Amino acid sequence: MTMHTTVSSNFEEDLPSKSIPKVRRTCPPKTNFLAQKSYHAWLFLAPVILVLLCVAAWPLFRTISLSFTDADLNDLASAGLIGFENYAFILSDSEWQQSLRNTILFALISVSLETIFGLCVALLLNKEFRGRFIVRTAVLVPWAIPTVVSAKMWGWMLHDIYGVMNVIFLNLHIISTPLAWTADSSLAFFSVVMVDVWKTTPFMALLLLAGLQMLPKECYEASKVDGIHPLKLFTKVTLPLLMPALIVAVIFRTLDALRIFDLIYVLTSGSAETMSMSVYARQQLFDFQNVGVGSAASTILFIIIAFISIIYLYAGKKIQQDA
Amino acid sequence: MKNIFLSLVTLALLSSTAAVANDGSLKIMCGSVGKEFSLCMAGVKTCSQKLGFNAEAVPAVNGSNNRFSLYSQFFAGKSPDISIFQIDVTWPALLESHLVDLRPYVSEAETKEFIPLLINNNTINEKVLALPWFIDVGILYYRKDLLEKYNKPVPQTWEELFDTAAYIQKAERAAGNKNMWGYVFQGKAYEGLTVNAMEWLKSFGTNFYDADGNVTVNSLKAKEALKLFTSNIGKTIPIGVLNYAEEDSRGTFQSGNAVFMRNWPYSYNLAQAKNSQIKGKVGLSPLPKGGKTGNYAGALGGWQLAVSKYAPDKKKAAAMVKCLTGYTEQKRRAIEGGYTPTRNALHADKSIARKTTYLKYFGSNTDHFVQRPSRVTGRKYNQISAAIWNAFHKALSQGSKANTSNALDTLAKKMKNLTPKKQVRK
Repeated sequence: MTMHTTVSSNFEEDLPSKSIPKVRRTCPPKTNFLAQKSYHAWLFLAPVILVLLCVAAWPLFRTISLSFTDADLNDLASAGLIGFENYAFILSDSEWQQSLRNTILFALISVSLETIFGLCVALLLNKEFRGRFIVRTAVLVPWAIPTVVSAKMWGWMLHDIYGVMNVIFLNLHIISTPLAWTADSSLAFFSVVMVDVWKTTPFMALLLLAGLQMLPKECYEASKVDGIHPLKLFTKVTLPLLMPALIVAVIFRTLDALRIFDLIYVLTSGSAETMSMSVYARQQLFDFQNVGVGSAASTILFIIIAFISIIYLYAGKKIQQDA
Repeated sequence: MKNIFLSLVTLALLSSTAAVANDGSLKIMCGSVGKEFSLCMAGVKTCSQKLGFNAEAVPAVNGSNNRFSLYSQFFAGKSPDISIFQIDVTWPALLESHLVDLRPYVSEAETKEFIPLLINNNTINEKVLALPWFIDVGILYYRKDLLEKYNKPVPQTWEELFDTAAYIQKAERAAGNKNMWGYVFQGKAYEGLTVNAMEWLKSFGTNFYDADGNVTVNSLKAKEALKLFTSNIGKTIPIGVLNYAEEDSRGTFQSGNAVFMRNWPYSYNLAQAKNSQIKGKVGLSPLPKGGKTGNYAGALGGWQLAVSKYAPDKKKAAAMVKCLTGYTEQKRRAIEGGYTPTRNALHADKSIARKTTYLKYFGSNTDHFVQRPSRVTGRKYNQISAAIWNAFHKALSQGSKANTSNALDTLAKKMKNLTPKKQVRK
């Protein structure tokens, strides 16, 4: 709507206003032009909308509708409506509560660490130095490795008996006996966070680096002239200006972290103690063949993610308005 | 997340069906652990020549939980692409509605040629849903050289095993072998832990359910058994076992870092291979008894061949299953791959027995086999098994601090709720 009005007002201003009578001047050209414009827009958008409807809207609709049934993977056709029974079951299931706690804690800790490290790396890479190109490329390597592969690789490195990490830590006298990084329930969570931080910090750094390079040079030149302390420069100039990019990066990572599956599935023992919400949903869907319960779990996960995105977007807008 | 997840599933389904695009030949989905797939391909080739129609082996994903998920998706889509599926011992009841009753194709006399225990396992509601292909049994591996060095006998009870393990572990560590541990098994939270737990319970004279299908997982014997294992975590059992599947425990044992290991027979040929660090130092024995009055117990594993209800030509598929599980083909598999046959005649044949690890060391006595409770649990098997492995995993991860009594009481309640009430029991 806003776009339409701006277009039309611009359009009116451009017209030689004196020669044409008022009625003819505004109405007919506007409708023709806009109709044509929106027709083209829809034409160009149609393939994308179609694809989105097929791959996003339809599965989402199916999942939500299946979540109200007692569907069984063995016999999907005979599913009957059972109302909110699946939701009641999940919300009272202690394994689901555990997986919810695990996922949220994981998202909080890993995204915070990734943001801090990612910002440090981005600030470093934003400086001119020899071999910057090589370092920038090298930093991306963990992100480029498929998660299943890196999870398996870390699984071997963290193995209690023949893992290299134990050897390194023992030789550095950080630990006195070999630890079972992925098996010990008190360490497994820490290991998952560590591997995730290792893997996704480059992604965070890249997004923030892109944001840093967009910042106006004038501010820095001005602050140089004024002789502002670097720390003050960072908190008063860089950080506020970087905020939009930072918010986008944090949203991306949070949404990703909330649906963590592969890393936990491959790296840990798969017990209810270390389960995430996605692992729970998959187990219900395929291992237990409870399509109804699995779909309900997925729907709850979807709602949580949607809710958190809305909060972030709202908060982001607020911060930008205040700034 | 949901949309991505579902579209991935669709994609996986599409690509898996695309990979077996139908060229008219009969498709058999078989496992691919080690030599398994090449043996399957050769067998399918021989049988298709003998029977006079085209057939082709297609590899299935490894890991029984994942394989079950894959099969479920084929069956949910009523896919005609795969005619024959290689299924686990615990699956006949779970997949009952998707499998063809083989009785019209296999006479009663022919089913009697198989070990009765296995045919019973595959018979659900009087329907013979699969023919047994090969057997797996849980066994104890030990370091012959270490037992000789410290002058210890092969342990007959679990208590003895942990005493010996502690003794040798201490002595070996003092001698500089810092990573030495006593006993490793499959302790990851998956089907393998349910299998191990069942062996512990059975060796102590109890089980998850009694003969009438009542939950007995919280019996005094069961609590005693679990206590013995939790109290050894971190002492003779490395905490790492909580994330060990079969191959992880073999890795620790084969790199010379454990005195004892529980595993399936397949590890023997690998542990005795040329490049193995413990070649010539491995002994085999039945898993120990729980106390002097306990039993020897080995979980029954192994794989069956079943015909899908959605197979285009069920008669041809059944003929193929009969040929693959037939005398000649099983004999070849025993000799070439060391797979334990499922036919009475092959168990009686000494020349075959010498070639297969299991029969060579243990003979064909099936008294100590323990079956998972898939008959009592019916369609709920996977859920009940997950409840079992989660409870045992949690108790083990708490080590000697674990309250095994509470843990098993809670598990028993959960199992009672999950166990189907009106299941027809034999």
